[in-house]
Amino acid sequence: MKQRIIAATMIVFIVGGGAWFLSTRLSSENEQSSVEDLRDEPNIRIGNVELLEYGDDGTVLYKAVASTMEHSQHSDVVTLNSIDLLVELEGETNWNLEASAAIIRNANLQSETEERAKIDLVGDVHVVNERDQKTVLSLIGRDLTYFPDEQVLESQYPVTIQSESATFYANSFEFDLKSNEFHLIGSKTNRVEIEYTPKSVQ
Amino acid sequence: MWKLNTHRNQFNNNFCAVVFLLLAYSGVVNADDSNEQTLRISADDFRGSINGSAVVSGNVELTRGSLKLQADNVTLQVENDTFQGIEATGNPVLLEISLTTDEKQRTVQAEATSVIYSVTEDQIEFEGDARVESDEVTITGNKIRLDVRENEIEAESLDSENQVEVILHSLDADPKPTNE
Repeated sequence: MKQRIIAATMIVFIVGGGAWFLSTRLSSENEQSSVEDLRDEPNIRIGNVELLEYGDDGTVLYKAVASTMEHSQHSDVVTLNSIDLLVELEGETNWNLEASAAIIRNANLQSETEERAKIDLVGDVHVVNERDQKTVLSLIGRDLTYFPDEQVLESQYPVTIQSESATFYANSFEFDLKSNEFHLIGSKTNRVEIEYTPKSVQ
Repeated sequence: MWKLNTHRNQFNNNFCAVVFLLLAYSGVVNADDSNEQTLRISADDFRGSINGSAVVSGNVELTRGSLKLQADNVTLQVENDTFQGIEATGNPVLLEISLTTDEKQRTVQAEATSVIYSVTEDQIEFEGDARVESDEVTITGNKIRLDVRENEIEAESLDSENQVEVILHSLDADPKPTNE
């Protein structure tokens, strides 16, 4: 009888200990995964944002106006919704980039070996170039990337560009805002198409 | 069956000679409507300014009114957002244009290694193994200039080995049917 009691007690201890061990282990795994989930969640969320990014020489690289801004410290990603990005160049030349959202990556670069800073403009993007408060160029595309340090805009998707007297279509493009130089690239099915119509007959 | 009697007159002229032929043409491009004045370009690649000079390359096809041009590379000259002209290079550059007289329409076909088309001056200049051909005349030379405004063709030889050659095609304007 005594032996039976001892055996039963040992079984209870073994089963209880196992259950306790399993429960503590599962609990710690849950905590770990939820911490990893949280690391990707934004740690800052702000509404009605006006964001100014400065270059190394103190000049303003761009001004971004957005309905909301979220910043994730872990991935160093800033997400701006309903964004209006303004790039001011010399000679009163303004570039306005409008998109439903923008993702600013690598904004806080620590070394030159890291990937360069860039802004992904998501969805349909409308770019307007104004000079002396007059629209001289309009660009419609989607999923554009802007490199603020180099002031270069590019996209791997079809684009339409409209100037006062010309219309351009291309399969993809790269544009240097400083030199005002475009590189339009066609494909077999979607060639570069250009139409010049004289101002007098428009 | 209809027969056309064609006689060809051929002559060579001297080194650096210039040939002027008055043409009864009344304008390359009828510039009365926007469709005729609109310049359309199709290419593989475009590099340059939207409102300034640029280069298009890769199977370039260009049309403006009745003018059709095929080239490897075309430099576009645009000033103040207004198209001024082009400089095309190719192996060779091919050009076709319909010229309208009061009575009928003629097609002129041309080729050269370089073609400069000035919209503002209404002139087309062919250089390098140039050849301009219509039903009435075939002209070959180093340099051929078609002045649309003045209705003139000017052909020039730049060296003694490549003289200007003009072949006049006499066409029987009123062919008579023959019974066979």
